[in-house]
Amino acid sequence: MRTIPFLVLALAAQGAFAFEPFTPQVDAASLPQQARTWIEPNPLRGSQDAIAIGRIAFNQTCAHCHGMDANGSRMPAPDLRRLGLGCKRIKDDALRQRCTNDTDAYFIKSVRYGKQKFGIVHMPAWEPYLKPELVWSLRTFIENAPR
Amino acid sequence: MNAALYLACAAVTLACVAGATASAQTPGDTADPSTPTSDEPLVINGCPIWPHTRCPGVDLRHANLVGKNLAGADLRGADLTRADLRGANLATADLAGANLTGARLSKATASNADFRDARFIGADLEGARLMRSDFSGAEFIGSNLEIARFNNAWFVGTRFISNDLQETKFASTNMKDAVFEGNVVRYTIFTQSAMEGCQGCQESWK
Repeated sequence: MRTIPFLVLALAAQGAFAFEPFTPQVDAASLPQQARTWIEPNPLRGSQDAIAIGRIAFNQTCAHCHGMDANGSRMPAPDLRRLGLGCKRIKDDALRQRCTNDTDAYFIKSVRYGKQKFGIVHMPAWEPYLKPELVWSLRTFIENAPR
Repeated sequence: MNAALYLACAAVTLACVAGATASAQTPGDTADPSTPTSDEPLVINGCPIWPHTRCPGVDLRHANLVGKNLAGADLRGADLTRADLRGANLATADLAGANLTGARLSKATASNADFRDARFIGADLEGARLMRSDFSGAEFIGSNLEIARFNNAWFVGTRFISNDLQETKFASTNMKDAVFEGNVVRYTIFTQSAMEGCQGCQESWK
């Protein structure tokens, strides 16, 4: 019976991942209507409102694994401040925009659907708990988080 | 038994010859003529080579992608025939249905990647890191998988025909309904693997 190692692995992983997703307590009413979309590019890029709202939401929902104020060093999950860093070095405007769009799409997909592999949940799907404008504000905050 | 071994050796030799020919490429050979030669990213057949790039179905045949960072890339159904991916980073990339015939992936990192229904014919994966990846429905024919690390990967219904699996690490894998035929399995590790319905899997592997 060789399914036992998988069962043990699955149970161990579920035990290790005890974080349940929830809707953060943050007032996002000031975010613009056009941000209520999952389609990239990030409609809130550079918005100071989004940075402030994103920071509050991040520290309630993401910091558990990705670190307070997006400081992901020494955290179990990846340091999100490194996401899309390479795009900033691209000189060609069109290419840089495409690179940023690809990173935005990856970020949105990861947050909406989470990270699951072989039935093991490494990150929960946040779509039921976070509206698009809040996810974009998270992205905006991370992009501007101090390194 | 000897015939199977000869078949495996001949197929692996083909893989090595294909690899040696591909090594004659230079970086400029595979890029679009319009690709800048500076530090700007490589763009091949409209596909920019960077992490999380989205290029499903792209033609990357013969592309020189040595050491490139394609982590999280969407390369579903891509044609990577004889592509040179030595030392490349394909962690968490989606290569479902990709064609990796004659591709060189030695020392590449492709952990947590999706290779479902992908084709590895005469491919070179020597020393590659492929832990926790999904190879369900894929086929490995005449490929070199020496010392490749597949620990915790899934191979549901995967076909292994005439490959070199010497010292390949398959610990804690899911080999359900997989097919093994004519492979070199010297010092191959299969411990703690599920082999329900596997054709060609041997009791001594468990």
